[in-house]
Amino acid sequence: MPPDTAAALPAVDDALLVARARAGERQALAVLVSRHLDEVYDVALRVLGDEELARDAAQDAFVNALRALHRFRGEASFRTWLLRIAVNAARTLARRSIRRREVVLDAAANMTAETDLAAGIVLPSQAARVAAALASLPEKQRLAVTLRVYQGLAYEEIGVIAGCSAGAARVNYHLGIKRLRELLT
Amino acid sequence: MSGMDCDAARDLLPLLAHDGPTGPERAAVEAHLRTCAECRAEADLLGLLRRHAVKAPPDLAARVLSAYGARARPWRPAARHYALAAATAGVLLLGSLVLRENALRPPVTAPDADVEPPAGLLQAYWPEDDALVAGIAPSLHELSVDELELLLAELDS
Repeated sequence: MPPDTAAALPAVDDALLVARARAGERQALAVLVSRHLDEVYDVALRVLGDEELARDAAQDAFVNALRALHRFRGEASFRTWLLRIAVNAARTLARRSIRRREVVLDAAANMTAETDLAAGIVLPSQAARVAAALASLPEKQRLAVTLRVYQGLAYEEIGVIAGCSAGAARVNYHLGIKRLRELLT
Repeated sequence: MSGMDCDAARDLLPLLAHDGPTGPERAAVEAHLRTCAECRAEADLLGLLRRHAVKAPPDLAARVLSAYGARARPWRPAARHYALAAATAGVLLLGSLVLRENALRPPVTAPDADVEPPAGLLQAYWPEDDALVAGIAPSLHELSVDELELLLAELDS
């Protein structure tokens, strides 16, 4: 998609974009995809811990959501609805894939490893440490931390997306943060 | 708001980089951070996490739209109207063929998504007695990892 597509409809909120997409407006579809691409990919990556699988899951999530737009009733926000579909798509892919989370730590370390030239050895970068620490959390804690820290979502929304109560989402967030503090500080 | 405690502050810390809190509530969080080293440490951790936010690969949007275009079903109004007009003309001109077309036409099926949008969001996921969200009790930052896991198990049961 051209990078300026989203800029063409900068002030249009999701509800109106959904209505226009339902009417067959391709540009509205493109803007919805562009607007939510990072967060859908982020959520898929946190569930799967594998970049290629996360691409597939994000694609599945968008295609499923766009094809089901006529069934979206607006009781949750489009964003919450889409992210829940993304979590489900990622979980489905995780169940089907043999490349499961067992390799997450290695993958995260390999993804962004950097060389300490002075010492002549390869050290995990800070990005790799963060990715590995997040990947080491149980899934619901990963999701709660990701959705709260990176997306700024309310516990109620996180509960809908992760499939738990708002209270459990809050406990999962605090538990995840407590563990990350132990791992990263 | 003044005299914010650690629990309330830590709930709001991740939202400072987003849309909220604002006004006096934001000022209360910032005032709390000036006096609480533990919460400042947590704010630093959140900053570290945010510096390593994930971005989607640059080709993913095009890939999504291409996949959608290839797999889209004819639910769009324009396609439906066209099919309806064609069917109407068929009825007027060749009634017998309409019956044949109907017999051959594939059933219209709804696109399947993995989930339905959640019904009754507030009622289903925001119970009135959810003290954890209401901020009544307990104070989560004072609980150990083991205690938090026990609490989580109780919530899940």
